[in-house]
Amino acid sequence: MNTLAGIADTLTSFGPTLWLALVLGVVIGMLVGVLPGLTFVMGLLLILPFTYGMPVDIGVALMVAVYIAGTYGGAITAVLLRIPGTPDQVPLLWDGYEMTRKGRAAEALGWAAVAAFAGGMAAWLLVTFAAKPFATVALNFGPAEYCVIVVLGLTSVLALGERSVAKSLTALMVGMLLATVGVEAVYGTVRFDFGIPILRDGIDYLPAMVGIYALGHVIIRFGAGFAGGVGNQPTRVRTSIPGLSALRRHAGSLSRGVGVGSLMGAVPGAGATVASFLAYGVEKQVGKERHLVGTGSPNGVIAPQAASTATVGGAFIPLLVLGIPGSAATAVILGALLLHNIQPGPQIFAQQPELVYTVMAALLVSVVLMTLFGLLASKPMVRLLRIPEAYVAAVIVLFAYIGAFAIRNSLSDVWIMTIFAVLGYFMQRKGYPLAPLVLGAILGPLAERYFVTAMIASNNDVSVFITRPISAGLIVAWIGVLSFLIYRAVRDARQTSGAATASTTTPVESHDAQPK
Amino acid sequence: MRAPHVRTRRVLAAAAATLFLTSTGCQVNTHQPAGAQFNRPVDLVVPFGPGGGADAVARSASNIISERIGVDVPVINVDGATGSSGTVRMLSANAGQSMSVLIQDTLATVSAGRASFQFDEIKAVCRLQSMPSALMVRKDTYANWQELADAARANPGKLKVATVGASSVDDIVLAATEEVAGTRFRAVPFSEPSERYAALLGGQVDVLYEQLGDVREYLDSGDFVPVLTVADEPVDGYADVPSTSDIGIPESVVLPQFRGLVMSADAPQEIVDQMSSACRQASESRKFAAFQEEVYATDDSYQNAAEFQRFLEDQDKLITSQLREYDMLAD
Amino acid sequence: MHEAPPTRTTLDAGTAPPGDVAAHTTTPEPRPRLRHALRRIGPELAALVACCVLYWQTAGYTAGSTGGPGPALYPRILIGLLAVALVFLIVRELRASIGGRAIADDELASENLSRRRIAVVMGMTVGYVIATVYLGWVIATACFVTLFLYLSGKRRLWLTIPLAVALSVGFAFIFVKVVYISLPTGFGIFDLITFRLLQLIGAY
Repeated sequence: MNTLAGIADTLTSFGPTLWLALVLGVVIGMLVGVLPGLTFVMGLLLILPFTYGMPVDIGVALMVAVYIAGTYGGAITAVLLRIPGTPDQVPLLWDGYEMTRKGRAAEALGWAAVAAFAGGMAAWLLVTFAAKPFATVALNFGPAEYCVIVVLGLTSVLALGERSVAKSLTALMVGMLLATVGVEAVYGTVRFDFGIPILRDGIDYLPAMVGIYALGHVIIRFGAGFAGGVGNQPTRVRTSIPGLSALRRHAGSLSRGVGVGSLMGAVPGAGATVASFLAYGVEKQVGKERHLVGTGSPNGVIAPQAASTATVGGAFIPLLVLGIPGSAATAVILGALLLHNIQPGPQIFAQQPELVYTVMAALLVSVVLMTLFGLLASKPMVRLLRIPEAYVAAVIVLFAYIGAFAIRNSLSDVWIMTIFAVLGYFMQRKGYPLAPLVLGAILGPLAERYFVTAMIASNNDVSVFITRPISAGLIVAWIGVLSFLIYRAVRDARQTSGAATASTTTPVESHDAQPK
Repeated sequence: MRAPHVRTRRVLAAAAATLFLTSTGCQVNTHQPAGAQFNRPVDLVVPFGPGGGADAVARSASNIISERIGVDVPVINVDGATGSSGTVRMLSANAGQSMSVLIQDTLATVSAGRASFQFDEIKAVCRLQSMPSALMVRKDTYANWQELADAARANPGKLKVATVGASSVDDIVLAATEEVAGTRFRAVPFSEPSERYAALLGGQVDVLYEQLGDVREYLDSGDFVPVLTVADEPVDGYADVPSTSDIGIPESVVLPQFRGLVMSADAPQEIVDQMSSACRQASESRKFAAFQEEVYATDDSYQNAAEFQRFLEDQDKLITSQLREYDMLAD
Repeated sequence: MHEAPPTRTTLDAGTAPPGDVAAHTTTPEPRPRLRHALRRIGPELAALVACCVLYWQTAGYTAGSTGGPGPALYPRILIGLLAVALVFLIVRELRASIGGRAIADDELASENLSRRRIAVVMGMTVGYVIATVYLGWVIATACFVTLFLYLSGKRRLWLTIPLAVALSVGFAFIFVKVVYISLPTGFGIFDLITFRLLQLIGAY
């Protein structure tokens, strides 16, 4: 309760400047989240120079606000325009955009806001009450555990698609192989560069994602002559803020998403992305309304959004307690703290409790503000759909260019983005799903790095994955997902050879028949 | 989506600027440019991700350099290939309009023939930091170097050392240490600094090879204990910790970690000289000096363009010969 | 356009909209069946060949003194799995085609896409990226937006040209000044024009 009193004290002592910083931070975070290619890391870098001149508590509050709001902003474009702002919003495309197609955009946005709120509150509770035990547990995770978690994430994307596993696997492998291009992280070997300098620098996943989802979307919509878009459908704004009974109905999805997100937050590199995909997978396999997931069910929006915002807690704790940034975003925050001569880490709780309380209070306020803004913005945002699509598409191209360029201030990434847009189009034409391609490009390098490090540390002894208890538990979970996949692949193959309907997919249930 | 955003962004920019001003007092760039050469922003490329040591030094220096030369010096992070990608990015810009941070690990890849650029393509501007490294252990494991060396001799090839990556200077120093101690360690490369620290904290590795300044918080809290400093002479504050020279490692292997600025070799000399003197003013500023002390940077950290160029040439030769000696050169 | 993995709306020939891409969802005549199948598995065959080339490339990757599995193992595993998946897909497609069944899993078939328009937009995008290198971002963007809108049917140039200029200059200001991104300035005279323009709007 000591902590709570400290936070309450801090909250009441927030001056107007701090409140302004929080409001600004949330708005900036949501904006960079909305713009494809610009992530919250970019947002943090953008405000970094300003924080140097600020008192440290204001600077930190601002960064916390940008970070947490940045995990949510992209949900808006994912739901409305089918463009994910950040990789962890990819699962929102499926049910979220489907809801928009059905004229339920405001409802989907409302659920996204509620889910972000639940995830944010979970993150806050975790940071406030369980930081030290969580950090102790997190330290027991080594390369072996991270490797299995990443592989679990990779495998789960295969389980998501209801089309042929072979096609998902192909797309996944292509994504992972493309990510091996360039200088390898551990050995420094240059792989698959064919003497081309652009390839030597490697293929970053962000331009790949922006190309496939943002530019790829524009290519397809232009190809269709902007006909039959969502803007032409009547947008029935029934409700944007879910009522109590609805909340109770979806409480299961909320808590499952929050749970997955809290657990995955500490995975360095891709916690939010893995969490979001896993949460969607969990919803689809064990959720109460699993047969509806994928057809525009709020559960398919709630679980991934709650999970990705909940990862903020898991990412923040190692930074605060150990001084170890678990993600690029927390690395920037660490850098800002260091420039104020503040070293987060084992001693910060004893030496600078006020700063820790400020972080906790800022987190709480940001979550509330973000939800509030999200809910307030959802109705005006839906009006975006009324702007003629060609104008929106042109602006999307500009953002895609800048987003790709901004990653390393280099044209190579713009080219990679363009190539992925074209590749994505042709793969889609052939019926290959795109999510495994993008997820493979994101998680592939992490999987390899953790695997190689684990193997070097164990002197090439593969048993390291099963002799460590946590790793062994994760392996069991992975085998579970894998056996489900094999079962389904076999079932599909039987159906293909037996079916006369010329389809490889599972029978579509009646309620799936949606207007296209 | 266009119009409202553009408007909001402008309002935001204005609001952010107001916030900045109210919280710090006036700090607008009103001074006159020091020389006529600089009329466009000069990029400062950090060839590593945001939040690291190179990023911190660049961001501390850029403000002060910008004030001196009268144009913006925006910091750009271009991560990839141990610093190679960022340096190539700097070289592809107009000569004299871009500079980049060069650190020892990147230079080592040049010497090893693994970088995407050649040594003669770059020109030294100034060295900002030179700092000692050390072998460190977790608290309550090994009290000093002697205990660690004994344990390593008892279990050759079993003790794990977290390092930067293949063919790095870490590997050279470690190989020399192994020779002197008469044992073998197992070097485990972690490319992300935070992963190295977590590995030592969590017991995934037994020893960490790192600059003292980058793990200050763990040293201050007592979680990490340096047992051997990589330096010619005792390090301030760690006088009782033996240095590599104390245990008989030749001076040629004691390669200090450094961070400096370089430009394209085609950059006009007067631009380089002006930048070099702006660097000196930056390094002399009070704020920067405090930062230097925080990271245990040595007193002779600053070098001007000519000195730094000579230093780089020496280091390049030394690293190449050491890599050859320990058979770590790329084919 | 729909990528949603969870739903699959099976397209039976009756509901497939008219359009050039929907053609292959109808059962082809027996004669060109094999040729048709070969055309459909062309990309997969090409990918299989690429697998061999890439596998051959990995032979040169060595671990050196670092130990561990080396830099070649991981890509080899990926290439192996990819090849298995591709062979499976090729065999399935061939069996289905020879058996007189076509596999309808073209996700975009319902979109009524025009190949010509797709080619135009792809060409326009590639041209835009190239143009930014030579003309600089501001000028190239203004031209691109105008052309894009024109080809999208927004033919009122008195409206679209000012809009395109405002967009490109506005974006340049925001991203060069506020978020510092060194957008390309082009070569020669265009470099100078961009430079003066950015100076004029206070971005430099």
